[in-house]
Amino acid sequence: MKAGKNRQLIIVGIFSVLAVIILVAGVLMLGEQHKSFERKFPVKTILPDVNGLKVGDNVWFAGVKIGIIKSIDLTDDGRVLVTMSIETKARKHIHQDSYTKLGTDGLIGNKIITISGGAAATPLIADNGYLRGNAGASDMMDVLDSASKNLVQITKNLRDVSQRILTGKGTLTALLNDSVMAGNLQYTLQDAKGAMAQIHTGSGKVMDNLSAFSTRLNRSGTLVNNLLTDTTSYENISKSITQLKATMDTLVLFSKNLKKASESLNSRQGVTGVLLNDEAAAEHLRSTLNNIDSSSIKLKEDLEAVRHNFLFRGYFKKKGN
Amino acid sequence: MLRFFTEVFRPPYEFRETIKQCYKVGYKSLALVSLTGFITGIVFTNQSRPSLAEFGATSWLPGLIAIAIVRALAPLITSLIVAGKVGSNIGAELGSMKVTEQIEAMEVSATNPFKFLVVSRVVATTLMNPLLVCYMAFVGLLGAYLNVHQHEDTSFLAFFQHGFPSISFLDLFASLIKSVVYGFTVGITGCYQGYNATKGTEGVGKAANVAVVVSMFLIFIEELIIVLIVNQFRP
Amino acid sequence: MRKATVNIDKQNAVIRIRGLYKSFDTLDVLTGMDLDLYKGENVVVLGRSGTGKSVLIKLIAGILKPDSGTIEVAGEEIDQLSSRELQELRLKIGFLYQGSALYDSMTVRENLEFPLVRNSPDLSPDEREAAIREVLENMDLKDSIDKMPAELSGGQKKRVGIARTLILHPDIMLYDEPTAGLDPVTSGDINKLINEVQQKYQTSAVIITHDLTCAKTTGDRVALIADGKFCMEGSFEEVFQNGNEEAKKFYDYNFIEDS
Repeated sequence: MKAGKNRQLIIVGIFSVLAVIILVAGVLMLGEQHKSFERKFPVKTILPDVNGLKVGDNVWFAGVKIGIIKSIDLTDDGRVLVTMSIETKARKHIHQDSYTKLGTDGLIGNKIITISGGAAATPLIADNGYLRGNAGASDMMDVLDSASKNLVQITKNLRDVSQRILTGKGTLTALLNDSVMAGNLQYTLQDAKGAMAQIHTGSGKVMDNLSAFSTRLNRSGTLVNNLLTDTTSYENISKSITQLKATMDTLVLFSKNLKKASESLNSRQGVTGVLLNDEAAAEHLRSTLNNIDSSSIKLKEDLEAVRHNFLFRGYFKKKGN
Repeated sequence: MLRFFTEVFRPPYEFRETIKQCYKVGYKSLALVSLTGFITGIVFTNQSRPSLAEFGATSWLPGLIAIAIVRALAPLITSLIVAGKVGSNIGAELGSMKVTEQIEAMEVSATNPFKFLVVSRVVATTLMNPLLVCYMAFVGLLGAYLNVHQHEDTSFLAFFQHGFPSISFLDLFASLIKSVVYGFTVGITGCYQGYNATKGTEGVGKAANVAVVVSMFLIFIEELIIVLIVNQFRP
Repeated sequence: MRKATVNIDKQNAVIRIRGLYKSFDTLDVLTGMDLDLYKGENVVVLGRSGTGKSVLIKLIAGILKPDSGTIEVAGEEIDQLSSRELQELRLKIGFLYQGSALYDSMTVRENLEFPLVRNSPDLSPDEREAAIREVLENMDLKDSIDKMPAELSGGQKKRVGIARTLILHPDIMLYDEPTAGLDPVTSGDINKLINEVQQKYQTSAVIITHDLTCAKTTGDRVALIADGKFCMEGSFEEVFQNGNEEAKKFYDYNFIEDS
């Protein structure tokens, strides 16, 4: 009798304790995942556009989650004030001259803020400190896109110039006297230089992105199997990048040649015949041009392929909005 | 219902009876709830896989299931089971006590039948339902894990690491609130129907039946309202 | 079968009912009823089914509220009491239901414990156990202490029901059809028990019945209900030998049915 009552009490007790343990374990795991029980400090940044970033999204440093977005507010001048909550233990990596960047957590993932840069010499960020927001094409597709556009433009200009040189329509004098032409050449060279720089950083960025992406794929292991097995998209991306690199290299070479030529033109030191009579140089110029042409076409095709790959469809749709 | 709140905090407490009811509500429903939760986990995972696989996104399964189970399935299914099992039981038990004048007999023996019968039962369902929901969620996730493990060869850790980020504290909190509210609903509806059963055996059957139907209906209405309210808090 | 004489204090009415009216919807059940129950007395209320006998004792126990009229129990007017005072008053009243109304989820011991624990919280577990055993012994139910109500016979259930009310030592007993549904031998046992209770526990009692044997055996006074009030009152012999129509009808039917 009494024993029965006590048995019930014990069973109810055990039952409740077990359930509470499950609950607490759940809360703890959740806290672990959300890093809720880490000590944190606030950091702010101002970005021109957050592209759908939400409160609760992740903040990364070197590909490691170090915090979450605490709040997003519009400032008076129409920019976006993002307050992040960063784990205290990550503070030692964040300096006052570190900068924030908007990115995505994978190709179809959430928006994230990445923190990077910062010289070791500069002091660490303080609570509520402001980080520089880095605008600009942070997005690998954008980089690829603009790079290819630039390439096309540059190639066209270069072809123009060199065509004229080669056909002799532009004799040296004509070329020299034709100030428009000269200006054009100057401009083109400038342009090429700028594009080159952009491509350089851009492709570096793309490579970073891509390697981060593929590391993530590898790390997630079997779960993202399907993404990994979808090698077409991966190949497309890496092909584009190799292409871009190759194009860039040729372009560098070519522009060096051109520069040399124009320098000699400008300085008037060089014998006029050197450039014009130098068949080898002309031939070189021509083949380089062809190279650029074909590689930029190739690049375009690859980009198109990437764009039409299934996995990116959603991405471009989003971009369209 | 008002009477419940006026009497629940007033001594003397029917501690023994409450424990007994907790035992009946909680422990006795555990097997049923666990089994259902386990099957729900497996079946839900299995059913969700094809549509996610179509997008090549089976990696989202743990997250999807965690959300589904924690946010919706565990509180709802558990409470419906409790409504069916415990609600009908309470309705029938109190109903038959009513028609055989046992409740009246308690009253004339100068004890408070409301406290003894109603308060203890409502407290029991209100306390035990969240606990059952915890079990259900746990077992459901376990079932889902087994299914995912079988098909995608995922490790336990990876499953939970992918599952948990999808859940927020708000989800967890909302589910707890829900299960408390549903448990209270089941208890109070069963007691109300039983306590107010009209004379005769037919009244007992009706009390049990109506207790289940009404509490299930109320649970769905409350689900709707709570989800609407909770969504106000979602960022 | 005839009961032993008891001390009835005619000066001391434990229940005094005056001008009691009670109706349900359009049905007038009690229409101006008067009754006195003296200390130590067993009053049998006789009447056909549906004449409001059960309503009468439920009014006395305060379960129902009268439309008009007064009921004084132990000097207190039931209508005027707060629910707490009513609870206290109910400690002095024992109520035996027609169906015994045992709590069928509990054993006999728990049934008896139930009112005891809640109304005498000062008792130690041993004292409680002793009280339970004592009253069960008086009811000759010692062996059934750990049985569930479902395992008991009808007569045993009635006795457990009586035991459950006696455990609080009430002054007034209200019996609702104590012999209904029992065979004549068991009925006889119950009737004897009612008289024993009256002797041993010094109770006054209102006994509702339509069983004349019961009325004759247990009643010090018999009151016959017809049309919502008492039409006859007195000893069993007085009521049934003065040729009243209603009493004669009742008497005839009863013994035609029983024999």
